[in-house]
Formats: sequence, structure tokens, C-alpha cells
Amino acid sequence: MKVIAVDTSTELSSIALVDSGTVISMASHTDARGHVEAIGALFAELELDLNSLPDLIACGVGPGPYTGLRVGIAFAQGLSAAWSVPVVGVCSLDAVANAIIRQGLVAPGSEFIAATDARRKEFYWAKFDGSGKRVSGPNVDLTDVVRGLALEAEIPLVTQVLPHAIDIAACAVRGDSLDVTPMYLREANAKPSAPVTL
Amino acid sequence: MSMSEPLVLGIETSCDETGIGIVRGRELLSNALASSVELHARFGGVVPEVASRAHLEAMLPTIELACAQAGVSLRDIDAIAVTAGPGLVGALIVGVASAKALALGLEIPIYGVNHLAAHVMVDELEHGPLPEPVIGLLVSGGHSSLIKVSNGEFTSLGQTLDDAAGEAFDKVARLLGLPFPGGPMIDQAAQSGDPNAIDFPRALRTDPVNAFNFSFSGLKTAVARWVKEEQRVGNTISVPDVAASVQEAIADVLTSKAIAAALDQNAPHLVIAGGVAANSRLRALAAQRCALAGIELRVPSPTLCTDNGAMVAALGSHLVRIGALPSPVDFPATSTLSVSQVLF
Ligand SMILES: [Zn+2]
Repeated sequence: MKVIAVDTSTELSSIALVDSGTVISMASHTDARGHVEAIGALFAELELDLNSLPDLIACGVGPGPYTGLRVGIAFAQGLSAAWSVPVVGVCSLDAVANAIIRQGLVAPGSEFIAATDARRKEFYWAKFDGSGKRVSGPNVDLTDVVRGLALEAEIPLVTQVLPHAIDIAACAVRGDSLDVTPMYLREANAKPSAPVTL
Repeated sequence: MSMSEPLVLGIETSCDETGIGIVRGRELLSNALASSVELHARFGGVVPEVASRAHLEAMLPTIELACAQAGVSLRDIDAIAVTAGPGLVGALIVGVASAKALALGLEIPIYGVNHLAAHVMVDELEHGPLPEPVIGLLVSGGHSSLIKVSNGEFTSLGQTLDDAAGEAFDKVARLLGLPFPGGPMIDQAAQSGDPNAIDFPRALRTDPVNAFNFSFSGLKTAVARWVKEEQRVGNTISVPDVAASVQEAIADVLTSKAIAAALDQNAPHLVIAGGVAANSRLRALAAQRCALAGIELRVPSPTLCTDNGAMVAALGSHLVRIGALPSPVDFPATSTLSVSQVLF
């Protein structure tokens, strides 16, 4: 199965073409703000042969900073429309957990918490079992609270791993997929815009 | 219609309307729209995060609707045009990311274009090739500008120094207890009112330094002061009279400055666009004054005046026609974009 995967839920924007578990090509770019500029160039770097389309498109649906998050989702949806290829969502923290196990960052079989920066001194976080299956979350909470939870449960808290498209693809292929709906976790900040006067 | 003319799909997400339009040359094939205006009504203004969320949800269904209405498949599309600015950056980004995926996935060129220029260019879909030089008066909740188009170049002649015209309508409507968006409500209430009942200020009407600039924040203050004073002395407020008088003040300033610009620039054509172009008094007064001044008035239908995808497609189609280079793959979405930059 050939999968194109995208994730823009953190400052790391990434895209990958994965065929039956083998990474055919991938590209990434780190910039907390420039997701919409980067995404097209990253796609072009894959040098896809559009005569043989992928079977599935997978995108990280967060949680993550909203503006960047929507870039990857909008892009994946657009590819899906252009090619008439199905698109699925993957929790970006599931991809982080996949990477943590893949890289052996926690003891085999151990439960752990994976967290990414949610700004305002908060983490987006979820708890995983030793196989990388999410057992609770995702949630957004103060970093101190999440650290306390990990200490109390005596399980590792991993905060340095960012979601990458190759792990998004792996999660989608093994069936850990969701609707293509962003995981916002917070209500929309309901303040009308300062008038845009042009 | 010529089948040899390019089929262009336009995407608009600069504010609270998700618009997808499809044109072939200058022929309008479809103009699908999803609006989040109702979600914003209780806040009395557009909430950027709410708008951005709604754009992402509406994007694919609106693309599908536009294709179905035009009777085309995405694979038939020859070029994509998308609003790259000005507007709410979080909202713009959804349109630009979607557009890039379509263009790259379909292997067709993409044009990241200027929203204000698109407002003027949409007139071609109804009234044929835009004569040049032409003056554009853009009036909406987000913009009040006077633009000149000459030799394919767009230049800004003036703009509002504070509130946009549509914003003035919204704020006055709120003072009068009318719901958001205020423009249509004021227009409706004004039908039974006397436009000369109250002499509200016409800011910068005869200020030579700001001949083509506008200012509407004082109007809102004047209305608030007037209402308060009437209430103090125990008079009943006639909403129709206030609405008609405010509308008269706004229409008077907009049309007199637009005509002055046309005469000053030797541009005997005027296009009025933006949501406020739907205002009945603005249209009537513009028609009357243009006739007197010997200026041809072109006002697109209301659905093409408010933000929509067809206007973006119309500008894209124009750019294809003149052989403009498509935008690079890494062009941004930007909240501030001068009208002189038509294309990234
Ligand atoms: Zn507009």
C-alpha cells in the first residue's frame, strides 16, 4: 500500500511517500510560522510520479497550533480532491508515540506520556501503552501538571519528539486513523477581529 | 463561449465566506459559497479563529458544489487562482494551502492573487472587458478604497483612514439595536425614513489633502451623540430617519469622491464592488451622479459584489489571458497586500 502522509501540527512540517513500510521519499522543514510557504516546496521535493497515484493520503490532525495545523489538513484534503484518493486523519501524538518506540526512547513494554508544546506553558499530551496504543488523551494541560502526572504514575514523559509524516503513514496503515477533523482541544478564541482597514 | 479558453477555478477565503468559482474565459460557470456569517453574528464582528475553522470544513464540499454546478470535473481545470491577501491571515492560509494542493496534484499553474484587484475584475464576467482607465470603488466591511486600473496596472488612489464603510453601517446598526451585519438592515429601515431628517457629518468631503481618502469613525460617534441627546430630552428615536440619514451621508461621500477621482484621472468608467455596493441608496446616487458627469457606471450583481470565488477566478483568467507568469510554489498568504501587487 502506497501512502502519502503530511504533518504540520508543530514547527516541523513534513511530507513522505511510504510504500509497504518503506520510505520512498520524504522532505521536511522547520519553521514555526511558515507552513503555508513550505508545504508546496516540500511536496515538489518528493518528485512523485503522478501516473501512479498513492492508495491513501494521511494527515496529522493535531493537536497542535491551529494555523499551522490547518495547512497540512487543507493540503491533504486538496490532494484527495485532485486525485480522488481517500484521505484519513491521524492523531499527531500517535505519530510521536510511534517514533518514540521506533527510536527506542523508552524501555520496551513501558507505558509513557508523549507531549508537544501547546504554548502558554501548556502541553498537548496523551498516555500510551507499551505497544504505542493511546490509552488516554489527547489533552491540553499546564506543563507542570503533566510533569506531575508522569512522576506520580512513575512513567517516562517524552517532550522532545515531534510528529513526522513517516510515523503518520505508519499509524494510518496499521489502522489508527480518524476523521479528517482538527483536534482543537480549546474553544475558538471568540474575540472579533480588529477591523481590517485597507 | 470558446472551448479553447482556459477553465479557471478561483478560491476565496480572506474573511468569512468560503467561495469557489469557475470561469471559462470571461464566462461565469459557477459561484459556490459557504458563509460563516451566522456564527459571527452574536459577536458583532468576524472572529478570525471561527472563520478559519469554518473555511477548513467548508472547503471540499464547496469545491464539489462548484464543479457540479459548472458541469466540470477537477481534472478539466486548466489553472487555479487563490486570494493570497489582503485579509485575515489564518483564513487566507486555508485557501492557499488547498489551492497549492490542487495545483500540484493536478499539475496545473497557480496564481496567488490580490483580493482587491479581484473585486474590480469580476465585473468582466457580467459587463465584458474592463475599459481602461477605470476607477474602482471598493466598499465593504473590510475595505473602503479608490483604485485606478490603467494599462493593466492597479494603483491605490485613496482609502479609509479609520473605519471601513461597511463597518460604519455595522456600528450604527448596533447603536440602533439592529442585528449584524448592519448594512442590509440599515438599507431596509431607511426605505421608510427621511434621508434629510438629520444632517450627519461628511468627513473629508472637501479636504484637498485627503481628496480620495475616507473617514467614517466620526459618523458613528455623531450618531451615538445624537441618539443620546434625543433620549435625554425625551424624544422618540425614529430608526428609519436615522438609518436613512446615515445611509445618505455614507453614499454622498463615497459617490462624490469616486466621481471626483474619475474626473481627476480622466477615467470615464467607474466600477463599484464590495458588499456595500449592494446598498440601494449608494447605487441610485452613483447612477444619478455618473449620468450627470458622463461616466459609465458598472456595478456587478450583488452575489458578485460580496466576497466570492468567481471574482478570484475572473482575475486568474485575466492573468492567464495576458500571459502572466504563475506564482512560485512557496508564495505566502499575507494580511496586508497593496493593490499594486496583483500577483505573487
Ligand atoms: Zn472583499
